[in-house]
Amino acid sequence: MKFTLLIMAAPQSCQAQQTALRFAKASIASGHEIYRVFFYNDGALTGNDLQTPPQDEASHLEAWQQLAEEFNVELCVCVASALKRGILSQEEAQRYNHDSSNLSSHFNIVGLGQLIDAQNQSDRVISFAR
Amino acid sequence: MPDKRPTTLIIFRQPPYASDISKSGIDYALAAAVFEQAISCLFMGKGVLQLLAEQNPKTIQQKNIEKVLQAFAMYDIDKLYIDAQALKQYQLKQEQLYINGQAINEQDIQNLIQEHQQILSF
Repeated sequence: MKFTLLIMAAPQSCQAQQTALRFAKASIASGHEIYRVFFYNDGALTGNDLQTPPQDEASHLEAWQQLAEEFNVELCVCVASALKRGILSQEEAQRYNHDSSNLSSHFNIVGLGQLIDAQNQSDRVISFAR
Repeated sequence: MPDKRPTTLIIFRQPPYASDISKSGIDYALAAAVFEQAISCLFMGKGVLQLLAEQNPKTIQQKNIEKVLQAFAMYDIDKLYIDAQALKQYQLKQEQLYINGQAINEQDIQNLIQEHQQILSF
């Protein structure tokens, strides 16, 4: 089956992201495909490269990046959600006259059309929210 | 069902201004309409409070959600359902809402959810 994951929870403030990561890994291990992960609303905070969780806590960012690297999973961050939360790619930082950018590698800033495309291409969309 | 435009039910379950999740739901609905998806909207539980007429969120430095929701008609989003039980719970009459939707009971809500291929809840 082709799955799309819609992540609407912030990375460190609740269990939703951990559950989503476990779901993604389990799906791939069972032969399914993750078509796209779409980070919306507070989920956009996942793309912040400056996250510095305590050393004894799991880094969701690294786990997502690993998933992208190993299994070519597409990580998409909604542009409106990202901008208002201060998650900017180099391109967006230039556009809005900021000195620095902080979008993590493996993440792309996209529009809502990418969520709709993902819905049309996937068998199931699974939401992870607070 | 690749590229077959699933029927999507968007469920609005949160009050309008406590968080921006309600706004995210509206943004999603408008985008889905632009891309000509088959969508229906259900305002359920606290979500019915989004529909209350004459909101004045300026006093709490928020943008009025009513104006965006009224744009639904322009985007041909016309399948609107309202949780009748929630209206009762909040002692609201449909005349107090600024959107015309069909008030439906619990059984109808169950059917609505079953009739749709994808459910997104905001």
